Amino acid sequence: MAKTFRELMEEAKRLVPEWDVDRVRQELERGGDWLLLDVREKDEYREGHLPGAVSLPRGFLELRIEQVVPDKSKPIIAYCAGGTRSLLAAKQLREMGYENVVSMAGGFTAWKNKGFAWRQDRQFTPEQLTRYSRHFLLPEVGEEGQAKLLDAKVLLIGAGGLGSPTAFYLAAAGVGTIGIVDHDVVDLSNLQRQILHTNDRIGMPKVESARMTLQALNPDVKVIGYQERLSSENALRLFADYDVIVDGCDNFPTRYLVNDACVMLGKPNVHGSIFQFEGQAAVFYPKKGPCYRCLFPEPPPPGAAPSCAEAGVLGVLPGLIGCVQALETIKLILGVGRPLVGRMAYFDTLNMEVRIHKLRRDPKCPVCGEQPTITELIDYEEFCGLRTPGHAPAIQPAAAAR
Amino acid sequence: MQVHVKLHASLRKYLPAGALDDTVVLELPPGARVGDVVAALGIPTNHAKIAVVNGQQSDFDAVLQGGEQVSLFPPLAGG
Repeated sequence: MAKTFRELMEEAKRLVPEWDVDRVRQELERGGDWLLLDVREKDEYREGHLPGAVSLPRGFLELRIEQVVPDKSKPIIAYCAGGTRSLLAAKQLREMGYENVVSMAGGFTAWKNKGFAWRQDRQFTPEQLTRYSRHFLLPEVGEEGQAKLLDAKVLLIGAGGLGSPTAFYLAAAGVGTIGIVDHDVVDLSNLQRQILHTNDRIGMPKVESARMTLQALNPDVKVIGYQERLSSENALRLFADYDVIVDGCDNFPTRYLVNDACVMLGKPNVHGSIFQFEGQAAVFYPKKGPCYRCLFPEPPPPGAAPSCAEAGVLGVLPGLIGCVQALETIKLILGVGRPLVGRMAYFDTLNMEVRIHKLRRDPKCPVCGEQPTITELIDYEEFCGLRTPGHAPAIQPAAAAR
Repeated sequence: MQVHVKLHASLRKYLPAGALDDTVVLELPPGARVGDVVAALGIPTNHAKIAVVNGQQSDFDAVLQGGEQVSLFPPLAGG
């Protein structure tokens, strides 16, 4: 039998407990396991909401609630602007099997009028709402996650084969500040894989070419270029301003330098490295998993592990590994999923085998172990056997990501 | 006892001729260790840096039982 609105509301009131805003605040302050569910439209939510509330507009409630709250015994406080939509939403949730749902009488309006705490999230421009619309649809990103990306600062070591795809995708994703360290200029031999750069920029500093490409893709992104070689003198200063460091360099002295500086500053190091048709990626996160030195305490003898310039590389390969680095970086910023900490993804693309190997910390690691012996940055050229102590470089070190 | 050994990246040059899928089956005496695999293939000890046995990183002095999948990796420089 058809029901009137009044009958629907009466039915909802019989089924759903209604709490006033004082009771809701008391319960929240008591620290219960409540999920605050804001069922208003997105634009209402953006103008202000209860701290910690999850936005799920009434129109998408049935469609998405099981994704947002898989556990039907989870206690939920639903609210809207005045208490009507949330009452009907709570009734619907009860009918879907959610056992413990209450509606906040008086809604957000009553909450605000009482002077209780509320917050307003980042205000996105209309262009941003469209640009990041596919991110907003993902519960793991949403508007809160997008705000984290826009506030994030990521430093890329190298704007070469790995740095190119990483930078492209981080910029497209709206990572707000991308720093790039690379002292080199664009060379014709780079263009087979270093997709940030173009034919008409040969001879241009890579950091400048990268800035032009990334800002053309997404003007939200601030690109800061450091046209200098990463060294023991500048690494700690450069890293200090960034949340995540992405290692896309092409030589061992820089890899050990990036590792040690990240351990000393407690910053995650998103590692990628390649050889011909094979590549690996891992996240070296101080105190949470092994560092690069736990895996490779000593560098290989000079010449034992050739670079791309010496051994060649399929141009697509750094695209694959650099994208994994971009993805891991975004996961770290958002705090979602399971990062590649304590694991190494290894890609053998000729056989197309992808394997994840479990790695472990070395308690005797000289940098991140229980009794570290390396507590300040050292001479990494010397450590890697590229020159003898007290002498000028015997071998000109490879340019970062050349 | 036998172990299956896969060599990666710059270590592939130490595969015997005719090895398929970069893998070689090695016959080792009982009690052999991961490091013995490295030696048996003529790989200089400081070239193979990571050993993975059945998907988990292993020490080079770990004793093998036979039947394991051993993968050996060098560090990769390129970027």
